[in-house]
Amino acid sequence: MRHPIRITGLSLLVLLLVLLPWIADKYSLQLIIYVMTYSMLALGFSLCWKARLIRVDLAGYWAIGAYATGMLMTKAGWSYWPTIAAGGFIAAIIAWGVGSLTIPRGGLVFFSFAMLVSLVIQQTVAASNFFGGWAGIESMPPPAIGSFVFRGKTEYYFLGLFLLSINFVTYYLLYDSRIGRAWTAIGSGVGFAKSLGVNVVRYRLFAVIISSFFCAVSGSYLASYQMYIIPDSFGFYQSIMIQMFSLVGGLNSFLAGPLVGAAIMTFIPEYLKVTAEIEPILTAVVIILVILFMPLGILGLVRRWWRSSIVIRMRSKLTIRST
Amino acid sequence: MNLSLFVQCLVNGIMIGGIYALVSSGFTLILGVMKIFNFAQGQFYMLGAFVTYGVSVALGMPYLVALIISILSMGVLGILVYIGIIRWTYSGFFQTVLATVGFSTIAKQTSLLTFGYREKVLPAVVRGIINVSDVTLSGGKLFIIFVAILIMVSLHFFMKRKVGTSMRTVAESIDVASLLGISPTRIFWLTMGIGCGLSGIAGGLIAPVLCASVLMGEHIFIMALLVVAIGGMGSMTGALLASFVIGIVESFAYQFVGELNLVAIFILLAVIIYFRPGGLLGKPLPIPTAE
Amino acid sequence: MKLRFGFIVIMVTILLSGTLLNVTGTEAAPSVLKLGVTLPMQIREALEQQRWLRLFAKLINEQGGWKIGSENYTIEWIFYNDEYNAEKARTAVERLIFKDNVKHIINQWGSAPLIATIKLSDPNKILVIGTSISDEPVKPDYKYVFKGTDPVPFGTGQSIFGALEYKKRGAKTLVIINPDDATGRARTEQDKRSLPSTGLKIIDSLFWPRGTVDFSPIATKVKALNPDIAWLAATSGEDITKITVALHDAGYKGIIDCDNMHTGIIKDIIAKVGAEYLEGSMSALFDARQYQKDPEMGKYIKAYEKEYGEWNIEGIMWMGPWFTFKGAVEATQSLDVDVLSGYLAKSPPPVRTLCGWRTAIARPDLGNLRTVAAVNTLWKGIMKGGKMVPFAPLSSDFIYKSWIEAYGMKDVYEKYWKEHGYPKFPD
Repeated sequence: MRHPIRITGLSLLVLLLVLLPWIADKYSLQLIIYVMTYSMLALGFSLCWKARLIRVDLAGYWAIGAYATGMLMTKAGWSYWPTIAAGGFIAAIIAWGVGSLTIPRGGLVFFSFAMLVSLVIQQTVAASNFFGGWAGIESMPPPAIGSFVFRGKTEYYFLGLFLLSINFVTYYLLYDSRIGRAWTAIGSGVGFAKSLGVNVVRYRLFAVIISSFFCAVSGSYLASYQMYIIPDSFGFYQSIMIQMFSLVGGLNSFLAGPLVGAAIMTFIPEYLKVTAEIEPILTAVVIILVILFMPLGILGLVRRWWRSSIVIRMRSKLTIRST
Repeated sequence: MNLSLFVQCLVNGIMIGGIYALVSSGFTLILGVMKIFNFAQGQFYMLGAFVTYGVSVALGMPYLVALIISILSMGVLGILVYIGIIRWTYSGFFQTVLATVGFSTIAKQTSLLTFGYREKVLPAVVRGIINVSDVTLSGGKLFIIFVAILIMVSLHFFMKRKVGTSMRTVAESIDVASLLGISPTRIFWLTMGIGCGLSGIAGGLIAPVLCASVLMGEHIFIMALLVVAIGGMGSMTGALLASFVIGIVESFAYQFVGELNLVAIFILLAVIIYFRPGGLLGKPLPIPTAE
Repeated sequence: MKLRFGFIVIMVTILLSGTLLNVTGTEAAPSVLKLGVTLPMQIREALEQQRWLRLFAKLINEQGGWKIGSENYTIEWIFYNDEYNAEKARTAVERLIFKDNVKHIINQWGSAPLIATIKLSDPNKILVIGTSISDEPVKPDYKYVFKGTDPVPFGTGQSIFGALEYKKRGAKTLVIINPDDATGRARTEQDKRSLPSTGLKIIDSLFWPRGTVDFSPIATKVKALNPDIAWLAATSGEDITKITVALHDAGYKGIIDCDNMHTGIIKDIIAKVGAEYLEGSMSALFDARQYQKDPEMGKYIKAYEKEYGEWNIEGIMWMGPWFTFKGAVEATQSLDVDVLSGYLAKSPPPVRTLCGWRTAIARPDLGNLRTVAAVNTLWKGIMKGGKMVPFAPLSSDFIYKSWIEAYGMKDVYEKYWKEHGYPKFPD
């Protein structure tokens, strides 16, 4: 990071993030909280996509995190913080179980089972009174650090920022490591990766497990913010929504894409002040337009522009030199 | 469980199986020939029901005319979706799927705005109850079974003709098909048209017996996915078989486990997929980017 | 993967623009009273509530405004669609509170939306008066939340009353049939508690999965169990028609009881299976014109017919919150949330609503001695000759007592009555 522009830009971003609760109005702040939640999910989707695995069960693991927090806090009296980890681990274990069974048998089986898992999870929590049935968990205490109880949006904002950062940094480190390179190889072609000696199943399984873990963390976060949990929030279409965020942001941008996509898809309806009925149509139209005209997403567009502008700048440099 | 209950369940199962068969055949056709998941399949079903309602109730035309108009209009709509959207995104599997999801949302929301959330009730077309000893059979349901079987049989013979063979060739390999002089585009038109038309007539058939509701598409789509997963992706016979199996299992399971009958079907799916990843009759169809 | 500059630029842009540029709310002109609510627009009952709310506001505005204290207010309603979904309700309520600057949310409907609302409204000091089966809103945790209508007591009262009547006609057994969702499950629980005391036997309680369109399986099962009564308590809307038709087609010949059978549904059912099938069925009587004798309510009924050119009854049962709010504002001559809450929490006098009375009660069983909950009254109707006719009114006292008995809360309440007196019911 030698460029002074980059460092200034980054510092500006960090400053903005820290000061945000005091700059933004309450309404926007809660939108940002939702953007952070969705980002964590979309990051997970993009991670699996890197290994060319399409996940349709993210909502299910989201639910696991939310319910873990909800149940442990209301029924077992746990404090909030351990429930985040607990939810994550339960999700990881289930992901490991389902993944081990289905990944070796190929993408199609994985896809079918993923669909199944997400539907079954939703039905189970909804049908059983133990988990609160369709009414869900109606009341949960807010998180607390010592005697400081979470009350306003600012606290939740920083918690979300903290969790999202951990998620982001973890993935960043993974992508930069041998594991990340293995994923890229798998993404280029399963046969190709195998020829390099990469154990496709093992790396895909790891991708599934780690993304499920963070999905659950996101679920815990959301549950703590809303202070209630309803099975309806975790339906099949929710999983599809997440895919859209990644798509709009840019399928080839595994870290930035999901964040950008989630932010854009959440804020655009707000700018346009559309009614609740029109909003899904708008979203769908945007998706279709993006697919047709910007197949690489917003960031894909930005990259192309950046690259072409580099060429222009280099060309002009050459021209100046030669005179 | 006495005989009466048994027969009742069986008839219910076959009826709903027939509806699933129509919708899933369309879905499978599109999946097999064009290799895409048409997420909007359920919406064609829903729109078919509304078209039937509109034509038969609002315009007062005979029911059979309404059915024919349903199948034609949905077929045309399907072709339009292909021309307008799918044709451009066809190279990317994932992109195409999301595009159909987008279209599905648009269709559903626009319908919501147009028709409102209230369900439209149609007068029963085939009235009358047939009583065979202790068993009560609804005339409307028998009619649906009859028409569904009629259509499936016609479809079967259609596939045996030259056009059908062309479709199967394209399903096998587009390159080979074009080498043989078959125009893939024209086949795609036909596939979308038939696939969506089937959905449309299914909606039209079920409308008088149940209702026309904007939300009906979602449920039927999930069932179509289950059928295709169990029966085999790309296999028409498999879809047919699986539809009736699911319909009957759903019907009987309800008597024993009540509202958890859908879970029973999921478990069935899990077991079948585990041992036969391609479903009962299909070959494991690779999702292009996953294998 | 390096952090691309483009990414940074975009994030900064989005954050800045999202928080600074747009998303400003709407400030009210000084003497405009902005009221807000989220309702599930896909449900008939909610659409009708919206119509009534609009009508009431229009009538007040036409008379020169609402005189509260020293100011004259014009009422402006803001409606959002929550699709009966906690998520959407929450987002909409965020808008209402932080963008539209609404301080009173009246007629919030349904457990999921109401609970999502109160988590947000209470810390921000917004008055919420709503309807829900869930008791979460009337727990002592909340300061500014009240139930204008509580479906639980009058549901219990209706069930017990109906059951006793059917018993007189020789019925002995019944099967409860409800949708597999929050309301359905809650209602089944409710009826399982209250019905046994009447002497009727519950053979089974069935649920139909959400999204069911084909009711043949459940109808078949009911036919097999052959109860005297098919008890469709929480089923509503077109589902009633579908189940009844399915039962008819399956050959079921008993009584069909459903709380929510109103004119439109009755018409649909008769068109499909004939009037004979419903003879003797009882339901809540929805058409207020058939029993409402109060002149002020009569005025509203006429105004509705004049304004909308037709008569619909789906909203009549649910206007308790509006009348509660109206009563409180007019009594205190204030819009201040603390003042209104204080008034409503201390046994305010009962108010008339379109379908009967609403009396405020406390919930000592939940440890809440503030009168945040409600007892509402209504009439019971019966099907005679293809028409629903009035059968008998249910009094507040009957509803209150049957509900307390059914839930086994007699001890707690008797102690409460000893210390605080028995609620003053108007009927």
